[in-house]
Amino acid sequence: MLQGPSAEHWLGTDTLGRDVLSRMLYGISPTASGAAQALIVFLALGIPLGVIAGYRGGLADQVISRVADLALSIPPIIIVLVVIVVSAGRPVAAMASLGVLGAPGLIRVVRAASAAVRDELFVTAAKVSGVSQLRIMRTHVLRRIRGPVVVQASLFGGVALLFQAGLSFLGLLDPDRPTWGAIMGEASTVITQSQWLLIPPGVAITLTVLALGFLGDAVRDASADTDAVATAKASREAASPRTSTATSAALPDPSDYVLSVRELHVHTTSGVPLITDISFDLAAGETVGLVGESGCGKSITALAVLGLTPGGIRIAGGGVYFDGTDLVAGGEAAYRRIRGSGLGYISQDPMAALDPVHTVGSHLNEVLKLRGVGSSAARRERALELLSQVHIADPQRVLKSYPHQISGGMAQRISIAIALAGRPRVLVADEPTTALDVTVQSEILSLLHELQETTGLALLLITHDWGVVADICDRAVVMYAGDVVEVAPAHTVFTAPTHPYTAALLAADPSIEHSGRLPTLPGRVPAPGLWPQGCRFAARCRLATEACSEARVPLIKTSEALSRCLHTDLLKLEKRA
Amino acid sequence: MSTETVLDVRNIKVGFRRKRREPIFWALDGVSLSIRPGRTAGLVGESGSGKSTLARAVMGLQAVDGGTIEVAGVSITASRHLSHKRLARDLQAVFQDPTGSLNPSYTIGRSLGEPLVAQGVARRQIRARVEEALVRVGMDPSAADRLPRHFSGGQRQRICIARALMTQAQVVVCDEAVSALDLSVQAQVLNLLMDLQDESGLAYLFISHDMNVVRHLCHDVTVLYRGQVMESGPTSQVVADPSHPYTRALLDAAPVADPERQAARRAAQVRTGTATATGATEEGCPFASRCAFVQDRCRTTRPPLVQASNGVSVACHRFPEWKSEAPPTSPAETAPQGSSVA
Repeated sequence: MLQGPSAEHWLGTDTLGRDVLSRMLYGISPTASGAAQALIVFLALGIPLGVIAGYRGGLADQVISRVADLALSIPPIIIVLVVIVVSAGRPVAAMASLGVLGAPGLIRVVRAASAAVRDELFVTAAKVSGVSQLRIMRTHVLRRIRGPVVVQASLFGGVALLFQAGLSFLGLLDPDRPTWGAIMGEASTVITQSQWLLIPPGVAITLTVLALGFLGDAVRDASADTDAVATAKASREAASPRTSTATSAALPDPSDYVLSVRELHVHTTSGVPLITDISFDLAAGETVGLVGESGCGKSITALAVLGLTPGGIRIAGGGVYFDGTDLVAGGEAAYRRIRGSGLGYISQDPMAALDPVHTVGSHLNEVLKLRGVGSSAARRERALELLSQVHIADPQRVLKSYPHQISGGMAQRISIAIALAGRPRVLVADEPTTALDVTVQSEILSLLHELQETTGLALLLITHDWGVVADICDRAVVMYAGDVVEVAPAHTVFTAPTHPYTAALLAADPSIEHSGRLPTLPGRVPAPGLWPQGCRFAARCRLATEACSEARVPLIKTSEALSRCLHTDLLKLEKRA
Repeated sequence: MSTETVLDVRNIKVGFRRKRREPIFWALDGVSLSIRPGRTAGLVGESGSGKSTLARAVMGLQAVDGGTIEVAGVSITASRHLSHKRLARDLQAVFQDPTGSLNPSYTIGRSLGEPLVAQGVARRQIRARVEEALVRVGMDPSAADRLPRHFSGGQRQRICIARALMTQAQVVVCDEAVSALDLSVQAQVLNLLMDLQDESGLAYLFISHDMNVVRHLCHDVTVLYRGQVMESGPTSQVVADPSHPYTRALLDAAPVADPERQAARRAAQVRTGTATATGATEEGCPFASRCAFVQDRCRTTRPPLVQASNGVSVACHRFPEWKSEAPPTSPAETAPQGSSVA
């Protein structure tokens, strides 16, 4: 009796001399089944009610949510004790009632997850495909809520196990059955004679609860989307040898321009090149359009020019010269001097650039304070002046407005006003009109054009829209797969493109009159890291020859343009034909 | 009721009310349009014009407060309880965001099979029909076993088009279906839509904000502004000689990829006032507050939609005299030398 661990009894013996190990092993069944009973009730109630509340919404949601909230405010232990008394200590009744009382927590989680799925486009698509509501709930919704349900279930499993152990410890549940809780309860009666007896059930309960928690996390992670893994793999595959910089001797002196980008290379921190050897210039009062499809590196170039490369991406070489000074070499300090006062920025989504809890006036005030405009009266005056400069009809009223009270076009005007506050000499505009209606786009473009004429602002405009280039750009810099493939004056790029990619992209534009089928470009832009050795466009190019794939093609000067193509003469001939 | 049309929208109204006692905001106010087999009807308008609400109503996702919608001769507005299963046989949709419209954890085959499963088609047949649809949109049949993340945006949109073909629907609603795509991919998808139409006489309701795309693809076009039809008619007519000042403004505002022509268009652009966020008086023409040719009656009485000429209908009090006050449209497209696309 009450022996410690020995070779014969690995975990010792109890008060009646029974082997603790075998009692522990036997105890797994009633312990686990108790927890499982609670868990089954928990899931059987929580998932369907949560899905119905979240996916159907409306009255069903109101009723289910109210009842769930009410149930959450009841202390479970009291109800369970009442149930034990009423059911004369039947463990099933006790554990089932615990499941019922735990279910509202799950209902809430499932409801939130299902409500999010309801608004997914693929659910709308399924509905339009004729899939019944019940089926959508059973397939799309259930599949999406798996993760949170698994986590909730494992957490609740742990709670149920502890609860079950607690009730058995107190001897409230069928004291004759050797559950882990009951073994512990027995041990506690002889704690003065032997402390050892407490340890096996204690360790078993602790480890099981912990294991359930880890299991839940692991299952959730395994079932989650593996997108992250896929990208990591792609970037590892991508470690291509760094191509030697094909320096073009023809580049002009940066000090002649307000902004010059020279042989700029931007890589991810793992070494995948995103843009390579980017060079272009921007003179005062000039508008340069940076054109290309998504994935060609337009936005990365813009961010690198501003010194705002996001985490995981770094400038790997080259320079950005502002007024002849290299900002890349000067580091963050050089950028800080120039940003706002030298370089302004407007983004595609003007609403995102405005803080919803601050008025337009306080946005402008803050910027002007930063620019050292002293008195608040002076700041207000300048703010009004800026707003009228961007043609806002009623600046007094707009100053007091919050971002949600203004339209998208007005918000873009305001973000231009904010950018102008520091009287920058260069404005970098990343797709400034893409999110706007055409009539508003037209107004914003003429505003930018006018500002240029009145203030001599230079504009670097990132766009995918040839119409916008035709409308306000003096020159176009065409990018493809992280490369500048063509630099040309706007009036020649449309009539005589010198790169096959430019030509193909122009041909695909439906704003140019076509009848019938649009000329298309086979394939797609290769992802960073998967760029071929030679011309990156070769695989999609009609004019490609072996020479194109052999070595990197430098930017070649033609009469009016720079082109990264070996066959500019062929293209010219074709055009004439 | 004519058997000629596969989609017939008659005078539909959809109203929203944020609070009780607030006046109803009419997202759609008496809009009609119809499409015959093998034709594409464009629906253009800016944000807030009601074009997405119309798309949702046609797909049976938005209850209407008036008017009727018939798909292949069957009313979807007659009964309160719409059978999506029934509607899906005749009408399918392609949405703007191809990534969001495919369940990321379903294989392509499962997503494409879904409309057939809903119709109760036997599993054995589904696989073959999925592969057939993939081939029709220019994809490899093996795509059926892969997940959406393995495909580019353009390929995903092809897959979404394939899904719309699964039930052999006669009408496909394309809700900004090419707006999120890059230029070269957009051209591929537009060509695909045209090829499919040629092959099987599909009818498209093509909703877009892009006049250039609409001009290229649509036979007819309806221009919406604040839930009302401003102008509708054959696209070639509407584009070449707009009858409504708003249509003219929309066309003028879309820049063309030619600096010389664009400069000329800029010079000839009809100015519009900035849209006010507050709803205009519901009495007059919804465009009155922005219109360069506005007169008093425009603000007080709503212009009816009347037949102009050449099958064009227009809702403008000042039609056709406003045209004589407007600057001439950009000088007749002087064909630049060597502009022919090789």
